[in-house]
Amino acid sequence: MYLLCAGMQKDLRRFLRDPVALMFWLALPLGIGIAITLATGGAAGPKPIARLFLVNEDQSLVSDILIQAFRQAGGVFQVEPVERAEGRRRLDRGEGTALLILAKGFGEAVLAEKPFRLELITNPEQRILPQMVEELLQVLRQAVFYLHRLAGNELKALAAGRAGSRVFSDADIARISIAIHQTANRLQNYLYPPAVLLETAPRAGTGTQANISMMFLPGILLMSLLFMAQGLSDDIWKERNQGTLRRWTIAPGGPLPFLIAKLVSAAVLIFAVSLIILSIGMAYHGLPFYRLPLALLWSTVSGLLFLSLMQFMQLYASSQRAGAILATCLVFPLMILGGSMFPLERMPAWMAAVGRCTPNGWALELLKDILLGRSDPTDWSAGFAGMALLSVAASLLTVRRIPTFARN
Amino acid sequence: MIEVAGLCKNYGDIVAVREVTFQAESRQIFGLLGPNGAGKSTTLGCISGLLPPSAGRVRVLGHDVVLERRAARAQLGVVPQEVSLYEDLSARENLSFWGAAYGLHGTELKERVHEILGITGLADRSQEPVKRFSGGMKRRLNLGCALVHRPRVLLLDEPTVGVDAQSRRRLLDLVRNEARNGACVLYTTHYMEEAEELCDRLAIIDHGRIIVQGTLAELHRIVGENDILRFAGKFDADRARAALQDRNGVEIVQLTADSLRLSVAGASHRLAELFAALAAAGCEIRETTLTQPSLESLFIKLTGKELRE
Ligand SMILES: Nc1ncnc2c1ncn2[C@@H]1O[C@H](COP(=O)(O)OP(=O)(O)O)[C@@H](O)[C@H]1O
Ligand SMILES: [Mg+2]
Repeated sequence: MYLLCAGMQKDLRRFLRDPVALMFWLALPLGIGIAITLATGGAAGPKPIARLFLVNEDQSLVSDILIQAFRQAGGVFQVEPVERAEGRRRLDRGEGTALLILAKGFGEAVLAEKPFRLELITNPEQRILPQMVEELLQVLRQAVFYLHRLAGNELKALAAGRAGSRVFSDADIARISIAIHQTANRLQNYLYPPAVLLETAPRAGTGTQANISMMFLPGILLMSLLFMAQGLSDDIWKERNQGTLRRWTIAPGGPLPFLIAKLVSAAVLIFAVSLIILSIGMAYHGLPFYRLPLALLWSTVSGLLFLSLMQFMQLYASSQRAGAILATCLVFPLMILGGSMFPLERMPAWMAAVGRCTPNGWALELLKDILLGRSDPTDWSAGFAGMALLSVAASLLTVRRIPTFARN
Repeated sequence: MIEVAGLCKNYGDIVAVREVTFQAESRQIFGLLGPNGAGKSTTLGCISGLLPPSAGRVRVLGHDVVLERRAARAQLGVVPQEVSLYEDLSARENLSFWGAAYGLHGTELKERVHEILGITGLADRSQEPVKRFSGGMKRRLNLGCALVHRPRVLLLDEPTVGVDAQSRRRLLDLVRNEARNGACVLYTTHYMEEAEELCDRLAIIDHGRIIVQGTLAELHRIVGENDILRFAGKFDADRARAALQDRNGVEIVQLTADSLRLSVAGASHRLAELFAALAAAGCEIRETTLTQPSLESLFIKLTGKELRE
């Protein structure tokens, strides 16, 4: 018991004497959180809408389809038909996101796959939204390209016979709608990162509804936990290299009490960092604070699990450097797959499925449920038991391995 | 207090320690003297519990170090060959931690830490992180950490390597003091002078084997009166052997094509005679070294090589 206290005192002192790492663990999630909040205009801010001024001098089916595509792209674009001069003026006054001019002959050119210049004037004061307009156009351009590869002859025939005409057969329309549908699907994927920022769809379920940056809170916290686990697991190498691990090994009780003390100290740090991040995040998103204790506990136990797994892995690295590289190679894919970069909901289905199987992705899903108040006690109690069991198993294997690790 | 019987330790095919047997008593400094790679650290590792022995038994105060691990280890203070300290903690924090690791706490721990800081001469730097310490200071603290819990058996692995003269004095005084206060000290070194100065009883170890052991007086008796005379040059083995045989008080220790070692009584008076005899035997001598009776000469006599080769 004295040893446990002394060990914690020692490890906490040592950890706290490395304030850079500590600051990093805190600053990283807070920084990302702030960046996301700013990018999305805040949790309560208005939904960002790209107001697109559209000059339609072409008046063909193709331009109609294009306008429709903008209107349907996730409700992001507000399309406003304007005259050329008026649009220009209003954009200069900073009223809109971009001005798109569909000059005469656009539809014909698309059908015949002839080069055509689309004029797009963007508002330099906005960053993300004009870029989205451009990207959407790019996607459509590609869609047209593929459409021609698939049904080029028919399109060319269309152009030759009835260019500019607004009379199409049902079959023509059917073909084109399929193409549009595909385009829309592609669009979803293509716009994926920005769309993440714009996601506002209310989620199903009984608890609090998730808004945009709220979806990032658990991801950011988990990211921080992964970084902490990575940084703290390196400590076993420090103990080894400065020879203190040998002294652990030959102490009367062996290395176990020392390792427990280290894990408990780490848990204190993880708890502290989680407390800060969760308090700020929950206060900001107006989540009820009675959910904090469970979320905090969950976060701490998850962090400990990551640490004990990573620590065990460190024992099999050939050097401290190799260990650090190994940990980094593990942390980043886990972070991406496990929903810390992009919410799992926004991932392709297969990726989300893999992500939910990563320890952090799995922990994240439950943390999200806890924060939104829709977690089931059977879920999280089984989760706690599973994590505790895994941590204990990894730590026992670590203790077994330490004597060998300390000598070599 | 320490009983080592038939201790063997292999690393795969490498036999690091073979059939080592010795006993060390309380109030005694037992020296394990040998060149680098002789197996000193391995022997100590088997006693401290760091390494599992491949064969043989080790008892500390009657407790088998493998079977009664906890009891044996609680009595041990180990000073590893490499400095083993928390570099970012202060001397006081290091001492407190290792004291607590061996069950000390409260005022007893505090007082003991204070005491150790005093005897190691680190009291005025006790709050500084260890990483700012000099090599000698670290070595003293390294020893101090093993003393906090008043171990009855002290294992020291070359504790004076790379320290300044002053720190070395202090370290040796500390060790002597522990023995005087009743501890059993096992001290390994490759410094012959240190072994001669410090140890009551000595075992000389080479290639994992103890080649001779006894009290300092017994070892000196084995060394006898003979000097060791070493010649380097070119030697025709057969003719040299013929020329030197049957010469009173001259014994060939080692003879190869380019070196010759002799054990000679009163060598300084017989140099001219030996030079002449060797020259007559067609030997070419480029270098000569005379070593007076000492542990060094004993080591050379027993192994045919110098301690620091
Ligand atoms: N971990 C190890 N693996 C393989 N061989 C080792 C290991 N440790 C020591 N040895 C070998 O065992 C022998 C004895 O080493 P050691 O006990 O360290 O010698 P000393 O302390 O007397 O210098 C040496 O030949 C050394 O190379
Ligand atoms: Mg050694």
